[in-house]
Amino acid sequence: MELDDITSSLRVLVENKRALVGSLILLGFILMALFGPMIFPLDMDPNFSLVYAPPSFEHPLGCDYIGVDILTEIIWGAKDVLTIVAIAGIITVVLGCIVGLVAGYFGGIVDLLLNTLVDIVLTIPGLPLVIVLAGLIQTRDPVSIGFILSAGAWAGLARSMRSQVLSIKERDFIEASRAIGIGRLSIVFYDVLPILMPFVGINFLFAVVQSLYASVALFFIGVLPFSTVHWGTMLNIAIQVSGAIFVPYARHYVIAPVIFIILLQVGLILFSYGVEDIFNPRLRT
Amino acid sequence: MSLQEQCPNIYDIDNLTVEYVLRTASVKAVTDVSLDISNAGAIGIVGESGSGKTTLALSLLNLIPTPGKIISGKVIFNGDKDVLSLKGEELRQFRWKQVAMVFQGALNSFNPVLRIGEQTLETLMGHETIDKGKALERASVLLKLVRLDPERTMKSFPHELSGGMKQRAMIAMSLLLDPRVLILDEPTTALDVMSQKYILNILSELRKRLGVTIILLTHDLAICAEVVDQIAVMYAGRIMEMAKTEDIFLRPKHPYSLGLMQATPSVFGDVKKYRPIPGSPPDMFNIPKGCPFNPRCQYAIDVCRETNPPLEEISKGRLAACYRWRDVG
Amino acid sequence: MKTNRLLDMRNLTVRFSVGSVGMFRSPKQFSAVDDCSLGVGEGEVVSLVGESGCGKTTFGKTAIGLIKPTSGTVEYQGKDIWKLKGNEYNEFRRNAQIIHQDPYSSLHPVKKVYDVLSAGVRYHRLIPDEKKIKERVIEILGLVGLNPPDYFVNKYPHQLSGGQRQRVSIARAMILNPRFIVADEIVTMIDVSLKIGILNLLKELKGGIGSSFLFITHDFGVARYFAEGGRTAVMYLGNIAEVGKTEELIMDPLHPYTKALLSAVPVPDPILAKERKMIELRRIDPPNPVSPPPGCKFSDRCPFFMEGVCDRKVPELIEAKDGRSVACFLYGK
Repeated sequence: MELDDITSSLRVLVENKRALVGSLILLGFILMALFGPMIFPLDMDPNFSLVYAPPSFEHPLGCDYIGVDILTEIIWGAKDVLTIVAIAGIITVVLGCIVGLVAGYFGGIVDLLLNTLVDIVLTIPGLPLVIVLAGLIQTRDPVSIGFILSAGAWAGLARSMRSQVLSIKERDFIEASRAIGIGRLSIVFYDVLPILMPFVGINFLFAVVQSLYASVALFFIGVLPFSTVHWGTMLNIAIQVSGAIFVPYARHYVIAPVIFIILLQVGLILFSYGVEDIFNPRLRT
Repeated sequence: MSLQEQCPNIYDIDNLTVEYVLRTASVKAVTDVSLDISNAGAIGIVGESGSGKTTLALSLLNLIPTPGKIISGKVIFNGDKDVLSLKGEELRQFRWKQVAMVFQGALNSFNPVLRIGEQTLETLMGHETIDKGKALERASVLLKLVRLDPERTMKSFPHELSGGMKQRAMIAMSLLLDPRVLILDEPTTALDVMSQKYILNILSELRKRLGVTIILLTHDLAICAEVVDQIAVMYAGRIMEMAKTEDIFLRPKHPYSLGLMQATPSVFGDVKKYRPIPGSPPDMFNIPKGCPFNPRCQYAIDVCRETNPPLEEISKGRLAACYRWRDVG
Repeated sequence: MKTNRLLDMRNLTVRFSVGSVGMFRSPKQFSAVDDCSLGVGEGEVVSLVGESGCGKTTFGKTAIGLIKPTSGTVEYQGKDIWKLKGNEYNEFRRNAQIIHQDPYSSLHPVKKVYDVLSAGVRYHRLIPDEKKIKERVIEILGLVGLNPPDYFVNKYPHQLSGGQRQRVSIARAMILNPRFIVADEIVTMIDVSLKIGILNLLKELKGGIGSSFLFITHDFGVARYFAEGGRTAVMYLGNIAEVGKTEELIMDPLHPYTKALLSAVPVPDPILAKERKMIELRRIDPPNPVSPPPGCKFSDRCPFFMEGVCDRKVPELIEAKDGRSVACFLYGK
């Protein structure tokens, strides 16, 4: 990676309007997660006078069932949420790529073994797997949760990476690398993978979106240990404890996390429009 | 009255200029082309990539795709039809009934899920009211003319035929409606040498038997030697030279024609006399000032770099666009 | 057997499966290359001529170890390339290179010219430091006519024309100073006016480095131009039909297929063209390569077909005259 690769990628990103909006949204979330907690201290002491307080100047999103400011909760939750989905996305993609690339390029017995593994994992239903694992490995650590979420997701990517590799490996420039003598692993990671970067990038973002929903669902169901500020838990409390969807004056308690979840997803999807552009050498020159 | 006497030229092309207007720039694919194509004759239009030959051929059918625009000029068919102003049903009848074209890469023009026979009949009956029996008969005659077994071919799917067979079937199909003119764009490029030779022979035969005018577009000068009476050499959208076949091969009067002859290695002739044309093909977005060939021309003088040489008649029926044509060869 | 040949292909057969696998159907096998033998000496140029589908590309790639033959051997300096290990294998690998036909798919779309050219040099540790590698890359760019080299070094393939890309392909093969190069239809997709230029470049580089060439083409004119002082082999449906000195083979073809091929070649002389008649074949179109006729594969089209002889066995490649081998029952005992 050279400096002008980075600057040209940024330029391409900026030129794509949708990707630009997406990146700004994502940037906003990242800043919120990193710096928010420093700026907005979380005061978890109940304040009964502010229970279900509607949005106001001091509390822009209102207050929850014990009077704690919702906006602060969202901000503090962002860090966990982003960590979980980022880890899940990265692990899914790294595992999926390695297995798919190696199986597709090496062929033979390696392909057979890896394919069997992938087939086995694919037959296990995704969400139940995650629920079972989460139940067994009771953990609060967002990184571990991210790992759990990627348990089944990598297999689908491995399968599609493998078929992409099967067609790429017949191309002339790969054959030229073989003629030069370059080893198979080097060809896989330095010749084949760069061609598939747009595919990998898009899959990464989709993996992130999937795990966003999966993690929210898990917290919502209550399978993952209680963490008051995770947006999923907020939903859990809002709906189950407070019955907020039925109680009109507590609606803001449900809507707030939902809006942020949707906003994060929108940011990711808009950003994905730029992923293909970034990896396209024609646009970078 | 013979065909020749009816109207000597099946096509009169007059100062045709076609431009493709893109977002960032525009490209003149064909500039100032004037050409007469004789009735029942055969002409080869020779040019490499960027020469404009395909665009020229498409304009003969008024088939220029957007963003192409006719900037100026006329294309007159058979002395009275203004091709570029035809529209709607008249245009539809003109195309395929009067003039048929076999496109480049025609091997892929067949519908892969229909048998050849079905597609053929579909075309025929779509354009003319004719009963099925007569249609089949006509198709059979044409398939035999192109040395294909009519029954076997009609029953086959495209993938069951080889490249050469598909191309011949394509040619037969294009003649179904008995057009006056057959335009072929690089008909033998993807084919092996023997199929190529067959197709060239077949084209000569078709000309004799059906009196159809043949317009052959190619980058391969050598295949023109056998089939066509006249050759027009194009470069960067302009006609560089137009002459009888023999004259182009034995006495070329344009440096580009001469260059093409010297740059095409063959099994005949002295190996030592072949040489490349220096430089690279023209950048159509940046055509050089003056004669477009001047950067690569060994005969170029100052005036060549300033003004584009007009296409002049240098002897009867012979045209050249070069200031130094007398010195060439 | 002691041999002074650089690369010796013996009884090469390369079989592929075609067709789908069903419950009761196993895929058909077809021999893209069928019992072919050919040797190329040090510094020699051999043209391999044939029509599309004859197996010449498969043969070429098998010769440099990119495809494993179903049977037969490929020997580099007397040693079976599929038995080489370690340094010996690396030596062979470095010395056997390929230049592909399609300039639009032979270069990695996301790599700059510098990366494409330096990869091999770095892998084989031919040059110790990065600065010297850059010098070598600049040198080779100049040698293949991409001037000024500094301009081309950082370009991506999509910024180059077809002819320029082909020169980069040539540079990639040549930068390792290989002793053997397979050139697979390298000017087929190049503009007419530029073909001779690329061929001359290759001839020059060959003079400088002294590599041997297996020059694959369907165009006899191009084959003759490049393999002028060398030999030419003609292939048909997986078999070698004839081999001999290029000029002699063209002047006096022995195999009926070679005769037919040469009679069909277009002649850039209209008077001559009218006189020449193509040799009449018994069948116009070639058979399906998956199901060739029994015996000699050309037998169903050959004007000299001898019933009971040509449809029995596949003729062997035997020496018919001095320096000329033919696979045809018309010749030999």
